[in-house]
Amino acid sequence: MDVNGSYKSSKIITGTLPFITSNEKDRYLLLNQSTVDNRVRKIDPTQPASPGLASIITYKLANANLDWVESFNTKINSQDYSVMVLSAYFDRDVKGTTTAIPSYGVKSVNNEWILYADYSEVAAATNGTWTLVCAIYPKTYVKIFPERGPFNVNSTSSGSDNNPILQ
Amino acid sequence: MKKLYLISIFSAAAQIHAQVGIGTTTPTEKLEIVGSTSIGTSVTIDPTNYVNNPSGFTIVGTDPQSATVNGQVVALETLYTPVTIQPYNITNVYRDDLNDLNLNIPTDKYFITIANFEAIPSLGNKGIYTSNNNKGHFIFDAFQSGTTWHVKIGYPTLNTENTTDKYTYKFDVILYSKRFFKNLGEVTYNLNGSNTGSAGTAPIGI
Repeated sequence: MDVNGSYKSSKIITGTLPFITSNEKDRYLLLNQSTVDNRVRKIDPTQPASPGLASIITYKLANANLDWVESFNTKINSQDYSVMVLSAYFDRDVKGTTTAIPSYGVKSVNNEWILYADYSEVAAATNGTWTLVCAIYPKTYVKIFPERGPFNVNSTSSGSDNNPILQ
Repeated sequence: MKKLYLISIFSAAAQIHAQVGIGTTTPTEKLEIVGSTSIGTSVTIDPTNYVNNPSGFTIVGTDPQSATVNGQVVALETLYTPVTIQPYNITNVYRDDLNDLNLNIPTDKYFITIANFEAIPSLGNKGIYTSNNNKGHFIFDAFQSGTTWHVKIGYPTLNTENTTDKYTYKFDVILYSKRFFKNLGEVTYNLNGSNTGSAGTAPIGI
């Protein structure tokens, strides 16, 4: 059947689709559906107004207070987006009598995502730069569940979540 | 006259049965086509809420260069998903320094991040050595060099105690297809010696 124009339906395909082949792997298009007009459109992140499935951004926070970034406001709305730090590193030596595990991440404050990074208990001699690679997912595609736990592992080194959300 | 007569029979049948089949005599939908359909300009679908069933859906795409007409709907299978995860196991690293591992993943098609890092010391390797209060700093970075992605891992200013010490590094590389993910690149903010700062505005285009 050929429809020379637009088409409206509640269901499009009921049969089995053919799998994508290696010929199509670099040219296939992903589709999404607008919640405003229900039209199906292709995803094209090369267009300025089209975000793609997610965005990746690298924040370089230079001239920090030695190795400490207590809070950097990305201004990204935490009700509409999820932000995750995928990897991070600091650019110079830290000093102290003990050593430390670097900690970094995001937290939501007043509906905005705040970055933080630090080597606790040790410090750099000069102001340094944290590099944080972050993924920004629209919540259309990503669901964030509330924190689970605390899981008390009773002074042992292992534990188990016996009732995971997705099974 | 004959044509009008046929149309009126068809309309009456459609009203009685409420289902029309093309290529089938037993349609179960309002309009059921056993075969292909081509739509010229746009498709609109009444929204249906997703029912929670993580393994019960297929992500579909279209092929803009398919045979006969463009736009054949295809199901994405494992190898060609928008995100690909490739675990790596790098053995026999000299001391702790993996200065430049060329993954030969093309930068024009993908951008990558690394996650799930694990460092396993060889027998006798007592870890990163320091005899004073300098605790060094740990680099864990994926970077572009030429047309491919490279990885750097290690303590650039410290070492293991012995030159014979080795590490095994395990990590996952996440490949994001540039056709579906937006790369906003690198943005630098000067915190002017403070431990707080603000971007001013959220990134544009998210």
